[in-house]
Parts: sequence; structure tokens; C-alpha cells
Amino acid sequence: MQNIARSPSFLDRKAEFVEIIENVKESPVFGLGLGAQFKYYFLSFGEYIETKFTHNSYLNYLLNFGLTGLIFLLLNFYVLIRKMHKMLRFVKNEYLHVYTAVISYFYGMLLCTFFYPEINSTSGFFRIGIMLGLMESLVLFSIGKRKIVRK
Amino acid sequence: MYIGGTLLGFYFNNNFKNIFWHLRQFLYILIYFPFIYIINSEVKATKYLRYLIHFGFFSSIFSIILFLLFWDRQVYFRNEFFYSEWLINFKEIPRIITGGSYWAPLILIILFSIFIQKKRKRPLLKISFVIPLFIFISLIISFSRSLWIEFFVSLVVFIFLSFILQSIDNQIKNISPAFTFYVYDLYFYSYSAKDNFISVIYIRDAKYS
Repeated sequence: MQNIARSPSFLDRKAEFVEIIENVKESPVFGLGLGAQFKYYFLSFGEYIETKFTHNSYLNYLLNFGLTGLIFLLLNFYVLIRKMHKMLRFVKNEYLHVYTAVISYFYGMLLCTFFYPEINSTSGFFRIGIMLGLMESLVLFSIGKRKIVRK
Repeated sequence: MYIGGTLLGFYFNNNFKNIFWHLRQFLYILIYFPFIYIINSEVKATKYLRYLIHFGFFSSIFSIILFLLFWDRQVYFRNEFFYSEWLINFKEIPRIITGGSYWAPLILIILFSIFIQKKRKRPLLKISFVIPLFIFISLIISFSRSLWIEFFVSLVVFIFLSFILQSIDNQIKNISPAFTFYVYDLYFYSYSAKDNFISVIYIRDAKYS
């Protein structure tokens, strides 16, 4: 643990997080809007850099949309997770493994996003879109709203 | 929310390029709509699942080739589609993070779920064990602790959920307690392996002996 705390990757993220919090204080309720930049000392390069990219997605939402946006995002996730779990009872046994796997991954993603840009990146959103599409399809097959054509 | 954020961005005189950079990320979630429209049968669902898995497989081969090419060098890797650029090294070993590395935890967890289902009469997909192996190697050589944690947490949650839901085959039911025990064991082992802990025991022993 001590090695991790001393690694440049960890220290860079820490400096980034502190700087974002400082910037957010300027407009805590609605944030600084999309495209907001901040400057911090990037240890790996040994110089100050100005960036719009953050490693913690929650702080990214805090910076861009303020507390309002962050709360809205968390409420969205709450509703989404609740819906996913409610749908579990409708999913047929043969799809249940894949459906459960995708839900599990979603939890992993939500945790990982504290130190990785999972929900403020093109790749992350693309993945969420595909995951939701896949899950919705599995539910629709199960409740019979979509045809099941087997080979 | 995003319209409000864009207006706020203009209000704070943020650069238009940067505003668009943030905005376009969100647009990728719209893949949901064509995806849900296209997957209208089970055949298509398995087909696109197979595409996803094969994408992970070929991407992992690409990662492994890059790793073998650059294993003793400083790697400056550029990937403009997903992110901008990195100078990547982990204790003098190159970190190979390609577009597929981000997908590796998701694909691996789906594959794991399919392999568990294998004992059923009609498995959802038939996949060679080489595919998850290669994808797992690509996940390892990314040396991204975040992705490792993501995969590990997903796996733990998956086994936990499967256990709770009772939707699982007998073999996973049997490994669930063993896996939980293994996780605890791993935690205590890593804790006891710390230098501090060992030195504290030594001092205490010296004091009372």
C-alpha cells in the first residue's frame, strides 16, 4: 500500500483531485460548464499542465455540472440499478448468466470510476450504451416482446 | 443536463473545442438506440456478442504483439479514437493499453458467465478457451490497476449475485464459498506480507522476550 501511495500515478491523481475541488469552489452548485479546464503539477512530466481531462469521473461531473449535476447523475444510476435488478425476475434462465455478468460489470465500473475515467470518456459511454442495449434485448426476448429465432 | 452544461460552458467562456470534446463523449451512449433496434432475435444477439468477443480477442493479440515488440523500451503510445496519448511504463515494463483493453473486463466477465453455463444442454455460445486466455493476458499487460480492480470487483459481484439469485449451476455453488475464502486469504496474506507488520512483531517479541 505504501508503494502505491508513493507512485507517480497515485500522486498525479491526488494533485488532480485537489485542484478540481479548488476549482469547483468557484461555482459549486452548477459547476464551470462543459469544457472547463484546470491547471495542476503533473509529477510524471515534472511540469504544470492545463487539462480538461480528469481521472475521477464523479469529480469530472462535479467540475462540469456542480453538485446539481453530480446528484442528478447519482440519482440516474440509482434508478438504473433498481430497474436492472427489477428486470432480473423477468429474464429467462438461459440469459440470466449474461445479464448478471453485465450487472456485475456495471458495479465494477461504478467503483473503478473513482480513479479511472469510465463515465467521462468516449469508450466508457460506448460501453454503457452497448451494455444497456444488450440487457434490454435480453429482457425483451424473455418476456416475449421480441421473436426468438433459433438455428 | 448536457444542454445546461454547454450553456454554462459558453457563460464561463470555455474554449468551444473543449466544450465539444466533452459533449461528444456523451453522444456515444446513443449507440444504445441502433443496438436495441438491430438485436431483434436471439441469433442476432449471439452474433453481436460473438463480434464483441472476437473484437476483444483480436485486440488482445494486437496488445501482445505490441508488448513483445516494445518490452524493453519506453513506449509512447497514441490512440486518438479513445483517448489522446500516453507515455507508458510500469517499473520499466511497457504498459500496452489499446482500445480493447478497456473492454477486456466486460468481455471476460461475459465469457466467464458463458463458461459457467457450459454444462447446460444448449449453451449461448461455443467459445474456445484460448480467447479468454488471450484477453486475460492483454488485461495483465495493460498494467492498469484500475482495470484489474474493475475486473476483480465485477467477478466478486457476479459470484455474489449468482449465489444470491440461486440461478447458478451446482459447480459455481460449490466454488462460491471457496472463492470467498480465497479473497479473504489473499487480503490477510497481503497484509501480513507488509514489512511494517513483520517489524512490529519483531520489536514486540524482542521487548517481551
